[in-house]
Amino acid sequence: MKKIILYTTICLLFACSSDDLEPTLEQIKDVETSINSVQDLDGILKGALSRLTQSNYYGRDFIITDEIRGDNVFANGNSGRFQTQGAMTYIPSNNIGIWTRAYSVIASSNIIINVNIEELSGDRETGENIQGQALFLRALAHFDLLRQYGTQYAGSGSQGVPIVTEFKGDNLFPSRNSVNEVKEAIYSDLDAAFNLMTDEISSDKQYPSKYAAKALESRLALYFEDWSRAANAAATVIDADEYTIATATDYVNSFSVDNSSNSIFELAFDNVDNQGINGLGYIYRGVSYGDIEVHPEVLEIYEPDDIRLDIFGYEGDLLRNMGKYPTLLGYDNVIVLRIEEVILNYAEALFEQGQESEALTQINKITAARNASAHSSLTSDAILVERRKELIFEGFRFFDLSRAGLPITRFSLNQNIEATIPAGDYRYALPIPLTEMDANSNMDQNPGY
Amino acid sequence: MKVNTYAWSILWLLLAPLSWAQVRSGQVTDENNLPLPGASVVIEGSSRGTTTDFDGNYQIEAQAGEVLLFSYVGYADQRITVGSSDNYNIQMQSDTELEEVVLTALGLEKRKDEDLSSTSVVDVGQLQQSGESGILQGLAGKTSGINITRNSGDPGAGAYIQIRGQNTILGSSSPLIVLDGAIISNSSFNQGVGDDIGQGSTSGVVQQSRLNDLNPDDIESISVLKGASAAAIYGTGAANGVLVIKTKRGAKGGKQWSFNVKSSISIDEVNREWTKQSTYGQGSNGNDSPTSSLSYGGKIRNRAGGNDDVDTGSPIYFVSDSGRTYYPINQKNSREIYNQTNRDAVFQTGLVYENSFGLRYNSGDSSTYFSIANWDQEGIYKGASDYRRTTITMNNDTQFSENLSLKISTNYTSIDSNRIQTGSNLNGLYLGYLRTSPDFDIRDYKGTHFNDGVSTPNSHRSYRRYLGSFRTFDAEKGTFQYTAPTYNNPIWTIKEQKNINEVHRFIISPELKYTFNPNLSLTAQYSLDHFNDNREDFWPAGSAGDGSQGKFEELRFTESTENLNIYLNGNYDISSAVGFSGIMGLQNFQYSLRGVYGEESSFTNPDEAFLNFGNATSQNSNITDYSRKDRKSGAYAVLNFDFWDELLLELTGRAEYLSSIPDQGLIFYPSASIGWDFSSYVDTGVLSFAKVRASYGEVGIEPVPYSTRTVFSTGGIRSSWGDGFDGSLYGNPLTRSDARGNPDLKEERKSEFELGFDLRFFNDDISLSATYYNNETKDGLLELPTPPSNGFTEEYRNAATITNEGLEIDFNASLLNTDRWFWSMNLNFTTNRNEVESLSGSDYFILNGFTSTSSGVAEGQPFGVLRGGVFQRDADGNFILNDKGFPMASTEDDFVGDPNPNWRAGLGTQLSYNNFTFSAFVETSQGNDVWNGTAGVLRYFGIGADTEVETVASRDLMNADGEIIPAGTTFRGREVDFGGGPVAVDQDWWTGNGGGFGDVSEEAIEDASWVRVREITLSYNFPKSLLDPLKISSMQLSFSGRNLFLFTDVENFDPENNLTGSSKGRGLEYFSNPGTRSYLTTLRIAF
Repeated sequence: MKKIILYTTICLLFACSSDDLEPTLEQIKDVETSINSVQDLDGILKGALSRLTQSNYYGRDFIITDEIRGDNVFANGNSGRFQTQGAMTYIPSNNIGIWTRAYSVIASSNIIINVNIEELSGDRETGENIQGQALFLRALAHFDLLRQYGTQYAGSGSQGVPIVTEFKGDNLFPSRNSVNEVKEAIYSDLDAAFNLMTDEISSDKQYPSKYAAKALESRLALYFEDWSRAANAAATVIDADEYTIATATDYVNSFSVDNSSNSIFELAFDNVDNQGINGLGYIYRGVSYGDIEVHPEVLEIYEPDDIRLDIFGYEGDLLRNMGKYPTLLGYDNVIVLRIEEVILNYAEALFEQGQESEALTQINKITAARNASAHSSLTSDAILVERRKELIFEGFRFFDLSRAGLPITRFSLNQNIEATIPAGDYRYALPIPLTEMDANSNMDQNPGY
Repeated sequence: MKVNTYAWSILWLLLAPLSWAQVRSGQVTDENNLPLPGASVVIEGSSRGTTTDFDGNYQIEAQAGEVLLFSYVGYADQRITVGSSDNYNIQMQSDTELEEVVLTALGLEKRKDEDLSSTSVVDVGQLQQSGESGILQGLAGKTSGINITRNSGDPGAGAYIQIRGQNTILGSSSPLIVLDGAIISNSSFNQGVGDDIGQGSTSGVVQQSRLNDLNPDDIESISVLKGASAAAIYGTGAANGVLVIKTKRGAKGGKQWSFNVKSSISIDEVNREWTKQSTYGQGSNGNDSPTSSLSYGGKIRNRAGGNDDVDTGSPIYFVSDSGRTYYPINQKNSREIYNQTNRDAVFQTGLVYENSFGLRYNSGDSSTYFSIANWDQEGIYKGASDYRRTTITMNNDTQFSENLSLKISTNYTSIDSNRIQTGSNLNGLYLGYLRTSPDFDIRDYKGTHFNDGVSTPNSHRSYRRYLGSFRTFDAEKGTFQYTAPTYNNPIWTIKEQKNINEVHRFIISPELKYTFNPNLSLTAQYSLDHFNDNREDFWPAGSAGDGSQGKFEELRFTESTENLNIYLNGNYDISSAVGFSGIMGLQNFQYSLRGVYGEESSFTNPDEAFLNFGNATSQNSNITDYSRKDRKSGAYAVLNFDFWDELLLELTGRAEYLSSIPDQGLIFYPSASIGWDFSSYVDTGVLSFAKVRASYGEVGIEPVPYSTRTVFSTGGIRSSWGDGFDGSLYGNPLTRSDARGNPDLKEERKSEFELGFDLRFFNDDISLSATYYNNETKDGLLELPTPPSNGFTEEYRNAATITNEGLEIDFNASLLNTDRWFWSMNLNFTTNRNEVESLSGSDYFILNGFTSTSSGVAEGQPFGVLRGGVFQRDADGNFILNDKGFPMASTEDDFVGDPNPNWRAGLGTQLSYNNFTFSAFVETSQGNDVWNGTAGVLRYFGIGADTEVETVASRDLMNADGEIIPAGTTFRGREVDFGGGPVAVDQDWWTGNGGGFGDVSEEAIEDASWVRVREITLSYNFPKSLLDPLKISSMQLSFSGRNLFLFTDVENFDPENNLTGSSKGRGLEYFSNPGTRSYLTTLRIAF
């Protein structure tokens, strides 16, 4: 009898235990086992988009870091923020830039991209559209990383950033790819994204679309002087006829409404989802932070009637960006791509290919909508100035100066830099953050740090 | 499973065999040959029994070969094997020399002489005599190898327990607790809920320890299993040792009924208080200011005297609830100093009433123990600080048949408690109390603030905001906006804020035992420990800090621990020289925790106190939760061999599955112990017992659950403006965790080797045991950074190695034992060296504390090492001075102290003369450092007594700001030579790096060694002649003092307290609530 009892006991114990040994994950879902439907992919995409909106990416730091290293704004030290970036005195331990955040967007995108749609329940086309959007996000994040950390502007180096295409891949310690490899990888992601995404363009621009991929391609090609590719990509967007330039009357307002007609892709912020005191509003304005002040000299580049002057304003004596990301509390969407930039990309690409008159046609579409005089002839410099006027405070100036091979000129006592920084200086590339260097022995630091 | 257990019991009941017997009789007498009425006579292993009559005679049916067991309280059991005779007379012997037994990990009794590990048995009488509210505190110093530190003197405060040094960085540091075979919880949760669930923080309220839910008077015995070999059958979870506790049960023999009543009153008071300076008023640089944070104003006694010059025409004023009106102060004239008044407004004498009743009932087949106890404590503050605990215990043993018995242990505890905010906390008691200037009277702490006819009711008046808190109405948001004091008035903290805690706990553990024959039995045991811990915290609008707009939070924890244990226990003599006994068992364990936390702030109606939700808009309400479940199932075996009754060998093994690391498969933990009892070779008359022993064992610590997988969670949508989430935009996202799941995780594994001896001399009057141990924990879990380029920021890895090495000595002596006199002594000594040998190259991890000064782990340093800012020094260790002659702070932090004691010891003695008994217990901890953050900050504020000094400059002196103090000038401060000639240390240095808010923490490190007289008791046992007519069997009146004397170089606070409670961060002091000393009177009566 004792044997019977013993065996019964053993059976019961192990029958009960082997089934129940897995702990329940009641609140959280296991990544490996919880992607079963197209709907799940949608959730992950939103998770990735929500990472893009964080304060240390498009929510603030990416835009400000690249604006403040130019000649439009300076950090007045009110709260001590962005002085290091403005002075370009960063060192690896500052952990400056989008590194961690951008790679986490890439990791989330990779989950979506590497899923086999056939194995999921739900509509296949919807799934492919989401995969296309994830490819776009991966391309965008790689491009943003390349812009900040690649050495292409720091002595024309060739060190890019690691291309990561697998989620939890075997390679825990990636090393850097060359600038050219990263560029090609982004082109390839954007091509694939364009092909996968649906032809129906939604009026909701808070998700990436086909033309967002082409618009980004035109920017990338422009930065790397692949002129014809830039021109073709820009033309595709413009010819789609989905987007219209904001008119002079609408221009200022276009930054405070969601899904304005000129927007191609924007990130969603509102009263329930925002970066609060760490958002763009609080750094551009107000007395709590309000560190980012505008150089008064900037006003001189505009003609007196230019509608774009309405973006500027004063808080007391301080010249401010009042019009872009206008609510102090950070409720405004952040536009990542808009048609005006694509037209300017197109104009520049045409000009650089010797098609000056076609370029003039394009660039004068912008001036016409801004109460500014039309250009009668073009130079590279004039195009850069037009870009500066149009895209000011949106994080473009530093890269425009960089790719044009221009120094960061010291022209005002207010500037954070101590002296002019010559073109090609090592500081044109941010240091790879120490958190990465410490944890990854395969990672090479940028020269100079 | 439970259903199945019941099925067996029914089955066995039906199958219980019957037996045949004939009548045997005899008389039971005591040592003096007088008859013993009421003695129990049972047939061992059966339910048959009887008791002796008034003449000590008995009659019982028994068959030859059966064993008669005679027992009577106070006498040693006697056994007689029934032969052919019908008559057996028995003379009982008093049991003062009963053999000591220890409890094994399974809760089974074992002769201490056969114990091959260093199991200590705690003197439960001493623990109960101490009158501590909690068992944990009561254990302090009572045996070697165990380190207990209380969280504070607050009512119901828990304690930290550590056996043989720290083993784990992320796992629990509490030992496994086995209560009557049930595995029970000793959680001590932090206020927070979520992933950061911890065991104490630098702020909040003092937490309880769940072990203290038990009534100390219910305890029969406690064995402390310190070594890995003794605990190895529990495998994972036993790395910190095991406390095996047995509660009282119904009497087996003797009287059918017995009762115990205990009534006790205790008076508590603060044992160490901070001294504040009483010369200088609120202000800075010698100038008075009623709003300054500092007390560097002018001398209070040099003022004009009389009332302060105030602006009675001001539209802003404050009317206190006591009716006094306060106007803006133009000039302070009053010479009043309020340090003592303020102290008396905060502190009182605490009072504890403890009453308990216990009964034992014995009806032959069944015996019952029942007790009900009530602890009612009023704390040492004149506010809501109390702790009320009611426990009900009922244990029953029933012998269904000769083979089948059932044992049920049940316990219910109900606690409600009010607590006081402490620590680094603008709402904490000491932070506001100690910083208050000597010339500010805190008593009018509440009233109405007026501003141009607009009134703010319930205005909070504190030093720095002496006209009270006030509010304006924000029409846009629709809420009041409060401007509150920076620090709470201490009376506001203890009277207006509420921190309510309610606990309900059930423990039930049925155990069914089937005895096949005297050599083989099967035991099945199930236990459930379930509790709810509900906490409510309330800050009225106008409180300092986070509570300024009013805040209410409610936290509900539900925890269950379930255990099913089934084992076969047998013994078999292999030959006449070799004996064998063994246990084989299966265990199934489940733990679950659920926490729900709700919070609301910015009250819509701030004028009333609502202790529930609904007094804030949904935007200002927030809810989070946390759940966790762990399971393990294992099989174990214990094999004991003895050779020629002198060589003992024990082998154990456990194999188990863990839910936290499901991919690791079966995990095995072995142990082996060997002992040699060589008493027979050295029987010289001096040495009466001698044994040497050696053992090796392995135990484990479970990784943090859910860390083997990468997960998605909700969230990522938020607005720091407090607006609620409505699901639009990027709603319903799956936010991937930044923590990378590590599928290769395995358990942390501790292996320990120990070597020891047990000796007894002079007929066992003196005993000496010593144990050397050496343990190593490998694969310690750490949360390490991963390259962010992977898309993750951290992952758990098995990366740390921690070692402990130490020596434990226990010494007991019975020095005098005559008819009238009895004198005994016991001494224990522990030393432990701990080192974090490897963190796989990582620099430093904070266990607890502040970014400026913390307790943490670093390679090559002891566990919990203190780290913080230091002064710059040259190669010879001299200060590097700035141009003013003062030292400069280094830019790099360094290790500044070690909170672990070099050694600890306890010395107890007991002396009896006739009916009087005196006992005393002294305890010490030597070589432990503390970071005294409070002292440095009080220097900063000009409140510390060390800032009261006045000096005449011996020559022109420079202060830290570069100002010259001319020779002959009297200044507040002192002359110090840092190596570059004398300089003036004054306000400018104390508010800089010479004070607590500077960049240097090395100055605040103090040697916190202490010696304390933990307990002194004088008791009187009323003589039998007086009690017998009243049918009282014993009555004792005792007077005790606890923590009466403390000798330490640390001033102003009791270094035994720890700011961060029972967390692994040790040696931190920062405005933590004080410790206490107590005076007890106890009356115990037994019927």
